[in-house]
Amino acid sequence: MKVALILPVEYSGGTFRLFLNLIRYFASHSELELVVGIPDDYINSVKVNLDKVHKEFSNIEVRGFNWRILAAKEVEDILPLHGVVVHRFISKAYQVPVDGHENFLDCNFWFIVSDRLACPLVPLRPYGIFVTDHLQRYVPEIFGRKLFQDVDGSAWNFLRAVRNADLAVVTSQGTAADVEMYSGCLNMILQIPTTIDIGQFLSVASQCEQRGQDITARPHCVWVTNTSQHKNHLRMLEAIRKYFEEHNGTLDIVVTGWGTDLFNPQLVLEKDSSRQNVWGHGYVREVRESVKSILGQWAARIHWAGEVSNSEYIAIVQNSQFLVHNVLADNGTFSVIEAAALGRPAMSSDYPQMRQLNEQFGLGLHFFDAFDIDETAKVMSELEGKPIHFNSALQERIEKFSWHSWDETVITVINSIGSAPRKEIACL
Amino acid sequence: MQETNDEAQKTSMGSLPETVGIWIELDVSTLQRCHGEGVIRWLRFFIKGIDELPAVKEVVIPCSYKAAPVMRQLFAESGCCGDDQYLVSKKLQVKAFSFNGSSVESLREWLGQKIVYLENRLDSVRESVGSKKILKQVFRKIFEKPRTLRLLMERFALSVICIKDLALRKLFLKLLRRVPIPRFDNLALKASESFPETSWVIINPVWKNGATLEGRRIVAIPDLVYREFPLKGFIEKDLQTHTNTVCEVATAAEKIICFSSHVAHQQIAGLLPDHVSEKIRIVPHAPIHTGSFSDSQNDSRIQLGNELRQFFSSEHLHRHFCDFPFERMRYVMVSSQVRPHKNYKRILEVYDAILRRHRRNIKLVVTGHLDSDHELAFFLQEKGLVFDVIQSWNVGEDLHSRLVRHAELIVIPTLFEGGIPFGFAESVGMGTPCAFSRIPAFTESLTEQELAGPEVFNPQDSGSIERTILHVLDHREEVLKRQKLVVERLSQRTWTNVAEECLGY
Repeated sequence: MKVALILPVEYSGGTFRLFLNLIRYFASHSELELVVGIPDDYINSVKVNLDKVHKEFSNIEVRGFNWRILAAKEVEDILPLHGVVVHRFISKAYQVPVDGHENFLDCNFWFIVSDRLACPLVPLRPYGIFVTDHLQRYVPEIFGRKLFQDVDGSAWNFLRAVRNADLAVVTSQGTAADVEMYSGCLNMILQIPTTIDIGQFLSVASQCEQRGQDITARPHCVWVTNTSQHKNHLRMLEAIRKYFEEHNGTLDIVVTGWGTDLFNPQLVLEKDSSRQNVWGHGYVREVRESVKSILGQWAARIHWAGEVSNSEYIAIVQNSQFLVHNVLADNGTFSVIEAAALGRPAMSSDYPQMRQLNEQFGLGLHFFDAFDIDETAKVMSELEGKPIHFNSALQERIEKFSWHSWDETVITVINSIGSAPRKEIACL
Repeated sequence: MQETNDEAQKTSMGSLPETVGIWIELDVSTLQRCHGEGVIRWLRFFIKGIDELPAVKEVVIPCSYKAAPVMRQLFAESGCCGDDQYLVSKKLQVKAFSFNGSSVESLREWLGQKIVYLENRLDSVRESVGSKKILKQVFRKIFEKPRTLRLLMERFALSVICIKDLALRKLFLKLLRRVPIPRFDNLALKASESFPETSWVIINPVWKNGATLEGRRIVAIPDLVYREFPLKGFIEKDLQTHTNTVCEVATAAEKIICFSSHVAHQQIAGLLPDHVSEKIRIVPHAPIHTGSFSDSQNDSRIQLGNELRQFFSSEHLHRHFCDFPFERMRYVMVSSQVRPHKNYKRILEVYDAILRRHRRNIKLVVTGHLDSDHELAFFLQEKGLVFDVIQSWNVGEDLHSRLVRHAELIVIPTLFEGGIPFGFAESVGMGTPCAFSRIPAFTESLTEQELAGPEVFNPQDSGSIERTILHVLDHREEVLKRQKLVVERLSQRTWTNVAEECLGY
């Protein structure tokens, strides 16, 4: 069985780390041949990471590829040649990966890591999709009205890719439920354990003793976020105000994460800065302008650290009293695990994926309703002065939930699909 | 005006008319979209109720020849085709009349069919070419020098088809405008002549030709909702015309029926002279019980899925729903048209919170065509709810009943109804609990104890609706058990009672 593991767009961060772990997982099964597909323009950017994996598993083949867009008529003509029966063609355009040689047709199964396909996939081979989340179901702002209005647009097509996938793989019950009822995958949905990849973090954490940080000398908590709209910034600012005004909060707030310094109303950004686009984004501007209007005098208690190095981040968390994780939806965030590894309590907005992480890693998270500003402020005040506590079982659980925890199920299912006759497709 | 007076009713019920006429003043295309409308459902059950009144020998519905098959379909027994022997009552007959002479009607029908045929042909050419823009480009190219023989022939064929069809369509439309349209005043005259001494039931007070019917006229005023809630798209002049017609028809009536005291006291009050108001009688609905399904839950869900996919195969939402696995869907259902007082905007906001704030993996199925309302369509798109709110509008009775049967709960969020909503008893009868608004239509029929349950909400308060829906979702069986007792009590009143009270002298 030859499997193509395809990264459909230029992901970085969590999704790319997941992709690397999937490479390791598939490559560790010697009975499989693995071909890794990465967008042509991205291969050089990730060469270092790929080389590292290559050293672990020399049996992988890496190919650069591009997506080719095909009109409906072309797809109608091609698919019968590959034994694929489609009853209705309902899309105007489709996409297929081309690598300039075999175009992955030498593979028996395609496994796409994420559902972000702008057009429906031409299913020349049976395929699976790794669905990280359907964030847009809970935070529609990330797409905007026009995308939902356009029946041929990407918002619709992302779901079509999942609908016809022979296999959808998820890591949380919440996302499994979304795949079942939102994108409506017609075939198998498989849940595998969430894996955590914070080895680098733990390594840095273990190397240094408790260190100081330069952000503030005052006692503080740390709010880990970024500039994405699903991070619930405006409600968090309101909660911070209530924390100070109604709960006599004593802690400063250090805000870390990519782009968070752009929320600082006092930041003067250079005109030629590469971050001008983000700075000027409507939502980022709205949050920045709201800092003063919502917080008033309390704005001085917020320290916008922005993106910091691993060691700086560890110092900030080590010196904090607790960590705040406040998002409307995602597939689970590891900052709370990192906090637990450093013995700091954490509070989290309440959604299924965080409940699952909490249970899986025994984190003892303090949950709050992301829409309830009063509750958010109350939990902040309750966590003040909470003692540092190291969960002795955490290290063991972190080690347990690496990619090694993925058993044979995915491979077995792929083998089964790859060797079975192709299913007919009702609508493509 | 006089309220329902039990003693007076009992005295009057002794005499009932031998012939009952049902006056429906709707054109054929409107009739074709009427199935499931409250007025039609009321009439169906009213006519069925007449079955148990031996004094009434026949029920007639006069209409045009063209409307007759549609009328028979509207009043056919469930699952039947609409022949006379399969109507909802053996006493019912649909009587066709020629309005203008059968040849004129035939000509009208022929022209109508031809126009539809030509429009379909033009549509399919447009579709295969790809878009109107491309069609225009093709037409431009018709007059350019062709490059190949094949292209020349294609253009020639296209121009022959399109130009000829366009020209013919235009001609037929001109002719159709000259053919006299059916006139209900003629129908009223012919119906009166054919059925003298008939008690005519006119279910809509704006059907003004009902006032010209000979015999006894019983006019129902289901509501004058616009006197309490603004109607979109209507100017003051239109509303005044509407009101004038209502007054005219009501004045001509021997008896006026309202389904609730609220309509009589709040909406009609002050509109009619005293001597006309005195003719008002309150005749509340009896509960509606649709038939149960003989197939198992599982088979029924499969059937539901198939029917919904079939429904969506042609709707513009088909790219998402044409192959959606509806069988596994859990959903809350709202069965209502799109009107301002039906409270759709609020229910969408509540659903948004239930899905996103409370993270209930549940869809919302509505029978209203939300996309026909700009504000609602905009809300759905802006909130990205297009994949979670399912608009199954104008579905058949069978599919509607299946949707009710398999819903987690039915929500009736309306701000007003003329009588107790049919959906309440219907859903409970199907084994689906109901969350409903505390409005006069319910408060007049239910006791305070029955209204005290957590399944009743304030329709003006989104928080109240949200809490209620969540409660019923989490306590389905408990709520259903309680509501079954309520429906059992309400079912002591039958449609025969309704018919008797309407028709009694």
